[in-house]
Amino acid sequence: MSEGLIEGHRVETADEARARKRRSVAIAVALVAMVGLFYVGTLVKLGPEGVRNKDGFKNPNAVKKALEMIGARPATPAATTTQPKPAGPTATPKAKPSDAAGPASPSGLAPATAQPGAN
Amino acid sequence: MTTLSTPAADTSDVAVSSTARGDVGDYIALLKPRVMSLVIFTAIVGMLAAPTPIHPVLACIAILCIAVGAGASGALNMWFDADIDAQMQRTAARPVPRGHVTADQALVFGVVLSVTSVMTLALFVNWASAALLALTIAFYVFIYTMWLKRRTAQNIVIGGAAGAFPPMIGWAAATGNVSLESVVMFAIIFLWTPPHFWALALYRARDYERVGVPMLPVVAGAQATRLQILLYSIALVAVAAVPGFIGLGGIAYMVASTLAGAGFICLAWRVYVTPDGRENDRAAKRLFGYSIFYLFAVFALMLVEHAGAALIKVLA
Repeated sequence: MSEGLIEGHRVETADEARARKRRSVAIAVALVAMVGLFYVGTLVKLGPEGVRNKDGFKNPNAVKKALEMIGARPATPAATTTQPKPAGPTATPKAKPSDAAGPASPSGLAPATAQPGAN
Repeated sequence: MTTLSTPAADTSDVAVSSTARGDVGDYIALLKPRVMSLVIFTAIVGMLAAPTPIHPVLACIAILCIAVGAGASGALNMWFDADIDAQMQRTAARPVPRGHVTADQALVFGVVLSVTSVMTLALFVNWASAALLALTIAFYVFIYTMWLKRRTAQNIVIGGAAGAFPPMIGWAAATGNVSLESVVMFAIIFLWTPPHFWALALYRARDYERVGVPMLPVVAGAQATRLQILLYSIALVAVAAVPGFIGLGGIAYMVASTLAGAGFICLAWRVYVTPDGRENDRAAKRLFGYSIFYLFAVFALMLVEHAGAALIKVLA
């Protein structure tokens, strides 16, 4: 075990160097474990669909789950709230397929965002 | 390869120098692994006794966070108490007084682990359990370690709340709230803490006296402490019967916990009637050891009965 001073600095002993190396390895292991833990935890919280997220934020389920995870409510789609009621008794009660803004979104997000490749 | 480190300002003040030869084991010792084992166990019981099931992966994350949070508060306790730890026989071998880890390193280690454990619990489990974990750490560090420990003989009575939170955190991790059952589990540990620590303080009174920590035997004397131990033991055994009435434990729990409680009161009585001296130290040591077994037993009984009931439900 050698110990001394070089230009005002203390030389690290062999024992200290070994301890430092072991500490570094432990920190590396802890960080890798933490990354793994966060990955598995995210899989469980969001589900494989949310993690895969192949459609990016166009995937309504991924967005919905992400919003649920942070405790936020998905926004009410504007299409369902701003559509004017047809006037008069002769107006057709059934909407044509062309009138619809898009398929119903289970997440309540705007349908445009629910279609892959819409943007 | 030779590396250089800055010299300590004062070579006699090893514990606060910038150099440290701490090994991984020293950092694990900072987490107080023995205390942590009791924390983990009671948190698991709180989680499994809850009526709402929790995903196994999230349960593991919650337990890990509770364990790390408890360990972090232990590290912060060792950082603050390094001066008195060095003078007490029981704590002189801790990493900071030995100079293996500097006080600053213990502080940083504790803060990083505290923040990480609370945030991870909030992110993956729920905010209620994370808030309780944060409260536990804050209570142990600020209320017990920094405020009460060196000021009042009631330090471990009030400070004992910090050790009583883990089953409540486990329950909150599963259900997202706090209910009567978790409060009862809290109360059991809360009432268990004074007889447990005062039994230790009885035969370590000189240590506490030397460093000026006003533990009950130092301030009020051994006889008053023995009476308090007996009274708290009776209250503990009474509260430990409550789970049998609120569905946390069944008949097996009631019978076994009553028998274990009778043993606790017998040992507390023996401490009370044994005159000062080595005989009394021996009685206090026996009570201290038995109190650890008792708490494990009471929570294990709850766990076994819940696991048994769940198994019967599955088989039926």
